[in-house]
Amino acid sequence: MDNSKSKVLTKSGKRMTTIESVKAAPLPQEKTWISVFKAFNPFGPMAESYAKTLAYKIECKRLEVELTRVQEQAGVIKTTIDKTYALKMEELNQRRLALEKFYDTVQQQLEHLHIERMTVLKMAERAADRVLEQGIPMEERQLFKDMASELTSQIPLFGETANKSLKQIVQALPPVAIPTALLPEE
Amino acid sequence: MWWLLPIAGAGLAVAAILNAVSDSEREARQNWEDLRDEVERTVEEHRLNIEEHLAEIEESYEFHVLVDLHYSSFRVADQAYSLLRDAKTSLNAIKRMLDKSRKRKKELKSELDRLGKGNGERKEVLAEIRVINDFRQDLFNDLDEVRDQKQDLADEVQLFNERTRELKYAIRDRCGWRGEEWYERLEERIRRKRQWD
Repeated sequence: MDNSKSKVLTKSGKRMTTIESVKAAPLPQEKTWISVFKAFNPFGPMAESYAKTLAYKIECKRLEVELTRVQEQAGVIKTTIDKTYALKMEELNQRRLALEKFYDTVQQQLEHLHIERMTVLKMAERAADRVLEQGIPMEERQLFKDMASELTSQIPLFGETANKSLKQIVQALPPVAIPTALLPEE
Repeated sequence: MWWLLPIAGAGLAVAAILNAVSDSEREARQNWEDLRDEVERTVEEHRLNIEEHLAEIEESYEFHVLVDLHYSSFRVADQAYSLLRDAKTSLNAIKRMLDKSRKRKKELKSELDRLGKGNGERKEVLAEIRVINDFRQDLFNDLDEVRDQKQDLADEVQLFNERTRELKYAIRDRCGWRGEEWYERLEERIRRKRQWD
């Protein structure tokens, strides 16, 4: 029987856990001259045969125990894998919920910002129309020009704030790292 | 010769006992070999089962990790696209204002030519042109900034669209039947959305 350990390998080839293999007892060996000598003694082969029978029976008992051990070890390994999986999935769920909340919050902020930006833009356009309107006093024109300039100068600021929010959600993104194995290497 | 009979009988008895003991040994050996084979088979079966189970579970975990990444990437790309749309709207509004002011300036210049030198109204027209020039200068400054922001956002959108697309194909190609089914469902949703649009 194979003396090496039976390794459980992942797809990536890393050892995760093992079922220890079962070692068989070596078969009794003897020298030729002893066999010749024993051949003349009628009780010799009988005793030897009886001893072998006993050895086989003892070995069978040991193998039965090993069989139970292997089955139980396999069960333990499966349970470990399942529990680790459940744990990892729970972690993933928690991270997903946290990210979802964060995205919703940032999205709400950006929606408010969008509404504000569009309102300011409309106001700026209306003020600009008044700047270009014919027949209004110069003071009023200057006033509308200042107002329109002030409003349009807000537009890049809105953009900056929105970019900061976007950067925040980009930074919150989990790194694109694909796990190589579920269980840590032994 | 009669004395040979007990010896022969004893010999036969020994042979019979020896035979019985040998049979028992053979049976024990056979049992041991059968059990040894069964143990070997069991170890191999369990090993294969565990390998399959682990591979299946790793694939499932990888699938969930990648789907989450895809979703996050999609949300960011979507948000970046909304901001890009806003930047384009802002840029267009500033361009409209610039266009209108350019037309008005042109009108005023024509009026200035029409009025000729020495006319009292020229002062007012020139003042209006100055106001418009100042306004246009302010608008140009804002236009440059918004244009830069728009370009940055367009780069960001492209980056996240690419990333989302790569993740989509990774899920399809690396996550077995789950990934393939997920990909099909996603493509179907995209097809339906395109039909609606």
